[in-house]
Amino acid sequence: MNEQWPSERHAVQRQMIADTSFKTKQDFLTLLNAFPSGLPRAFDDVVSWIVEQDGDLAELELRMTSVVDATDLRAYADSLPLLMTCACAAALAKAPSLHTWGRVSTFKYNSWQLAHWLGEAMTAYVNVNSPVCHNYVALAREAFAGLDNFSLQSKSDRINEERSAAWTSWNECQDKLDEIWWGLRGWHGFMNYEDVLPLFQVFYELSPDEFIRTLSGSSNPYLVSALLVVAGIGAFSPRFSEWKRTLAAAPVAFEDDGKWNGSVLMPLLLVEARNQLLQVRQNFRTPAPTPDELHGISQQVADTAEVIAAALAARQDASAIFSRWTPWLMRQVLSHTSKDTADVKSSAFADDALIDAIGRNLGNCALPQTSPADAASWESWCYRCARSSFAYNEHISVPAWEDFGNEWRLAPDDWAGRNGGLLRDHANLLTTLNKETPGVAANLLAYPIAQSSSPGGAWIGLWNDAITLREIVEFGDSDATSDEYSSRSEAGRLLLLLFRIGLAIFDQGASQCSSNSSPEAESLVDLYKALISAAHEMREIDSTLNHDEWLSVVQHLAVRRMIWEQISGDESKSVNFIIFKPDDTPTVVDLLVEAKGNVIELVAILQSLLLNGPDVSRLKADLNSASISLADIVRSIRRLNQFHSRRYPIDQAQLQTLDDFGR
Amino acid sequence: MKKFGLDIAISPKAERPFPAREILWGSQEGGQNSFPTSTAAWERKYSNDPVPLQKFGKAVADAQERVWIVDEYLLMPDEGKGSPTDRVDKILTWLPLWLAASDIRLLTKRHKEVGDDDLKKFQQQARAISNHVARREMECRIEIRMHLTQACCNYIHDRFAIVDDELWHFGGTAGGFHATVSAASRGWRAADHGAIDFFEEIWNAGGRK
Repeated sequence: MNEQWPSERHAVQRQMIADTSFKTKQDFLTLLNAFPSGLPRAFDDVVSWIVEQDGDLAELELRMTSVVDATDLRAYADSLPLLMTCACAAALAKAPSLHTWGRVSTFKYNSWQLAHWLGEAMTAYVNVNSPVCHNYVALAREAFAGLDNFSLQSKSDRINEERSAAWTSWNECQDKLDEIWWGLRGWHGFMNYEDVLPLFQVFYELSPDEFIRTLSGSSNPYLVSALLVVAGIGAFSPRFSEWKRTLAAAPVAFEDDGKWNGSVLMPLLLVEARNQLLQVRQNFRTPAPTPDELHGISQQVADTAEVIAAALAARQDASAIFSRWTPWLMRQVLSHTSKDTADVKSSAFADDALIDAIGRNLGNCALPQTSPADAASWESWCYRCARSSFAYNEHISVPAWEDFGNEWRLAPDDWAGRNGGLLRDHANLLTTLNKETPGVAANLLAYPIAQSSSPGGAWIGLWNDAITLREIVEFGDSDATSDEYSSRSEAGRLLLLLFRIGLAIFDQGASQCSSNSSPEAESLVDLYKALISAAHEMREIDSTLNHDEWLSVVQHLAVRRMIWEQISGDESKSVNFIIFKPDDTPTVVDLLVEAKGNVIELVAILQSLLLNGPDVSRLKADLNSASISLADIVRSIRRLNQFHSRRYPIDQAQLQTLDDFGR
Repeated sequence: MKKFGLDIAISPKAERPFPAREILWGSQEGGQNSFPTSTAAWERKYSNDPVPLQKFGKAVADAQERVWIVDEYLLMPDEGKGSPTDRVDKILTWLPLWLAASDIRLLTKRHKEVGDDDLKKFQQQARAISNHVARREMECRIEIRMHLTQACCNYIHDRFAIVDDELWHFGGTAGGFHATVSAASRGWRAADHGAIDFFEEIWNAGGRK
């Protein structure tokens, strides 16, 4: 990729439409060059008047009209507003103070031309009077200080109120970094600083390094993000080169351990990078992209993610940056399903690509082991997931998991105390987001455990030690004064996540196992039995909204019992390993017998088994052994459906498959 | 991200029979498919007791799984149209003791006029529903969150409800309590329109961070 954002290249491809109502630096240079020996004295008088006297736009117009007459520029297109703008630029150069800026701002507030042309006029003025460069820079720095301490106000009360309200809200905000990651929601962006943008546009053009240093001194993200627009970071004309330049010059925002020092520039640059990455899919706005277009999106996302990660990796504080940014990216990935993440048009695909690219660019970066103390509660486990992801892709060594395991070990009194609170806070986001079984989050949390010497034993230990959680689910939280249900439901959700981690450990172990006589296979069989036992226990004791989930996990377990016993003779299939010996209990027959009492559950299990390529004769034999007549089952469920079609819904196609299987 | 294991397919849940799409206008007869006459509209506008949509109440009472409602004024009637207690009592009639659904969530805004005693009635009803049927596998949970207009999700204008798999959209108050001419439409498959994901996102936005 050449050094451009995808949207930047996209913009270049679009035909530019010239609008003569917007004057350029060249327009002003043409005017100024019409006076090789300088503008007449009358012009200087107007400049002095702007600096020293009071008066409104009408008076400026009147005074400049006499200049136009004196210079015989009446026929020159837009000569009056051009000269008025030039005079303002000259006044700011002559007396670079907030007083002069205030005067010019008043004119600008009442004149569309002045408001939109001033920056170009100032740039042109520097071109013909290079010494004034320092004056403009000094003025911009003074203006920035005024904006930062709110002494420099807009002419609009509404805008002043918005700036103040945003700042007040920022100071009250508990999770400031989250607010930046979210893109400063509720803020009207750069428009609230539109009146000063011409000055800062000139500042950036004249002295970009000084501009970046100046912005770096502010802790006001609204002000900084608004002014970054003039540097090609944010709205309008984003430029990768400027982003990269600013990134390289931005001060350290995260200490070695990841602690954020409050500097807003770096996090804002990261948000911009992600926005540009997400922009890729927007550039392909076709309702049904062709395979070539999808490949194009995928390639652009990968390329853009790579240049972002490489630019970040070049910084000394890269590991600290990664330690705070990747949890956010991981959070975005985990809020989507695996299917979404595989869809090149989704934001999750882009976030996932960015995490991958960061992993590839880690090099010798030593990532902190844990999230720092100032991190929001959700970060801890998302960071854990991010590090697991890096390890899974072999970019770092497998992280330790013992401290994670310890979080689950609660004493009876811990639930309402600090340890219980920590576990609930850390897990809350993942228990809410992780809708799949086992799901990406559970797989990532499971990975370090699955890589340990005894994964099955480790999980069984974790589950056994989570007895406090099971007691809360079963008997309630004696400390809860009002909403006792919440405690039971939350403890149940935690256990569901722990169960999914166990299932993920089983899956990851199974995919590495080569023989059912290996010690690994024996350990996996023990793990499987423990998972079955856990599911049985939980469906008995969890009567909260988690109950249905505990019913459905039996389908997952039954399918795994079937898949990892049967031997595929087809070497081309990935399923050519076995875990279970035929007599390892529970067998598929045992599971079917257990489900016989509930025709709905039995049908769900059978339908799931049929979806996973069963050995037909084996499954029929299993049904026989379980004394299950498919015809009776199908008849029963149809009768239930006739009795109450909404309570006992059926999927005709799936039921027909089941019916056919029984024939 | 590389895949972690095999792709294992699980049988999707069977879909419930789905009602046809229809539009329902608020009327003192409990809703109708056509616009009201201007006489009926005047009558309802000045009624002390605008009758909600009967079909919505029935759909809620017949729900098998979930009833999720988003409306900042769900519990707060317009001035002169009864008290919050009246409103809560009417909503409770949608949630009979034999209610099969267990997942009832109301996302609204905090109103100082809606007292704790009114809100407690929902919990009493949830307990009564749970205890009504012996060996009910899943307890009925009625949860009310009041962060709808807070900064975390203050970007919602319309009101909507998800009853099992069906999305209802309301021009006025959810349930059709609005006194002036207003309609609701039903029969939209919630999952097809991203309603379930959207609801969960705004619901969780007000939970623990």
